[in-house]
Amino acid sequence: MKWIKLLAFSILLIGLTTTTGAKVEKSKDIGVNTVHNWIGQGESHWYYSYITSPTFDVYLVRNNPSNSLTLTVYSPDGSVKTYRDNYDGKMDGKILVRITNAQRDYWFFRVYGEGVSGTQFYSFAVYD
Amino acid sequence: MKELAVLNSTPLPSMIKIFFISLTILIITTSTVLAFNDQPINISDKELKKILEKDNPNEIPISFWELPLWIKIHYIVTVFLGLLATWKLLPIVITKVKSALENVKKRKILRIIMENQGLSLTELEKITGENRSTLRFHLSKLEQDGWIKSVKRGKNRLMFLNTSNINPTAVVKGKKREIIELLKENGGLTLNQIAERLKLNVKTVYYHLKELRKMGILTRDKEGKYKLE
Repeated sequence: MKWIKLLAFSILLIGLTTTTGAKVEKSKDIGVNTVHNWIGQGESHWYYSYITSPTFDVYLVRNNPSNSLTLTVYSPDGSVKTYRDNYDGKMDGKILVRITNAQRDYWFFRVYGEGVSGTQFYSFAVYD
Repeated sequence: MKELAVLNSTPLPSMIKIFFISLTILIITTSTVLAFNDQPINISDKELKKILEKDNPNEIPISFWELPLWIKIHYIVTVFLGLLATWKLLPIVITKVKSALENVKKRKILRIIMENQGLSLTELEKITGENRSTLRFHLSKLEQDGWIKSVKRGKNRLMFLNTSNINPTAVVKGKKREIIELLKENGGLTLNQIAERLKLNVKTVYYHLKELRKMGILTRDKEGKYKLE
């Protein structure tokens, strides 16, 4: 019974913390086509992209490096990897990952507000 | 989950059990063999901006419930295991914190008793600022663990450090001290002899002798003579 309660609570938690509402828009300040959105503590934003090239880049950029966001990549064959700001050895508010040997299909991405004070603006882009 | 069920049925000490549960969760959540390669990109902000300028807005927002089933399951399992780990580990963490705080109080009480042998509960209450029930709890723990020894004197219970080096006679004062000194000089004496030599009422002497016996300082032999232990 405890397990069922815990599982139900997990699903409820997911429902509460998973939001979308992201808008694809052209940024006026930097003039790039990408996703711009706000995220709060514990929230998850999900995206997908159809990848045609075996190599593509994923960018998650935020303006406040003291807040912590994570990027999780779900490949079509079931591989999952989470990236943090220190992935490239620097804490600079940018997660820049190049994926090689990529399968041509739909890839899914999760942006997670791991340690956010208030809300955090971020830019997310998949470039192939 | 099977592994967790097996672990739960195994009579391992709780810490080892928790360690294995955490390890299982860690393995489950991190053991995916990556079918793709990845590397960090080291580019300047200027270059990044240039690349992003050419980027098509091909990232489509999607709700959790629209995701493929395997991602939903993976995510639910990860969250579930995270909660499970928290649920299992939280009581241990709380106990450790509580125990650490209690230890701080216990050490403080013990230090005060060490510095002020023969303190009563009221005196201890004044010095520590802790309430009586908290003190009683810690004192009983300290006594159970063999750190202190309490001796009843009248209405009060006096606290002593329980080591062989500590002699309770050292902290006895007034008439009781006089009785001890007298017995040190003369060996065994009867109640009347003590009363006579100290020029005290027999009843008063009897009261003090009774207290000293309770404190384990004196014994009375078959002839009715009081001797130091």
